[in-house]
Amino acid sequence: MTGVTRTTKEELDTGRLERRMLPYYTQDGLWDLFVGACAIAWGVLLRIDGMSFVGVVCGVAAALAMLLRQRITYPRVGYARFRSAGASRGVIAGLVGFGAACILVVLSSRTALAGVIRPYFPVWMGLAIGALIAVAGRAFNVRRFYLHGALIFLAGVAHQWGGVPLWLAVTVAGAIIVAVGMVVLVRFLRDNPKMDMEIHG
Amino acid sequence: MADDAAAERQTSGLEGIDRLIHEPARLSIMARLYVVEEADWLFLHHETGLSFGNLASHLTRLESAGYVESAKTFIDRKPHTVVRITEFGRGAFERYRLAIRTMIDAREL
Repeated sequence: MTGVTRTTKEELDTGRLERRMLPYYTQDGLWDLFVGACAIAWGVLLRIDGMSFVGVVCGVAAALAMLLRQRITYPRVGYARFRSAGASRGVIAGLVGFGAACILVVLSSRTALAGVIRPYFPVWMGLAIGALIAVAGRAFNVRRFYLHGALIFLAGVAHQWGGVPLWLAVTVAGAIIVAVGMVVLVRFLRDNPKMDMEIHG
Repeated sequence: MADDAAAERQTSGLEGIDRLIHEPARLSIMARLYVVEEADWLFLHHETGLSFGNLASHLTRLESAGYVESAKTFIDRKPHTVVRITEFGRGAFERYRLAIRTMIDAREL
């Protein structure tokens, strides 16, 4: 079929088109900054014994990331909401809830599994959170989130077998993720000048 | 003569194809709106590479056919227009995609 170009084929394969378009959500680096900020907050709150505030801090960071998207991202590359993104967010939120419930149930029990998990809790915790970040990377087709997930897991490993204080390991992992996010953000700002949305509809 | 016959076969295969969607720029817009729930002009401009003038003209044609709809929203207290594909447009795009795939498969046999 001579009339069907490669571009047209991609447009007919909407699954492939969607995978190519999904990095729209993470091209500005703001979600990297959010993940890194949460990791730093986790580390700092561990240090000052204020872990009960971790949810509040992560909530504020998420609200800030969304506000910055409105100020930074939309005027540069436009606004879009993907059909699959809502479902992915739902799956990720479900995994977080399910994982947290499993950890609570297992740790509060006297089963053999609790006996296995308790001594290596930082490693299991790092693995669970790292895997969650990797799942988000897979859902939004952004490979650098695999690195972020690996860093969080390695923080748990460094504490467990390297003797590094957990707060320090997590804070360093968060700082690296924030640095990656800053590089992505600076490149995004450089490559995408601001445009006036009012003029263009 | 052989070339004429080949051309005839190619055009006859286009029967039943939605010409409104078949135009490359509109196909590009429809495919992207099929994937997203809603998007603004700037996003479509970035994704399709169309100028704002071209985008306006193609969106007007798609809107008058009932394939897409526009809505005014506010972002950061500034008004801007978001575009969505309608259920009718979604069905039309799915029928178009099926028709093109059937035609490609028939030619590859």
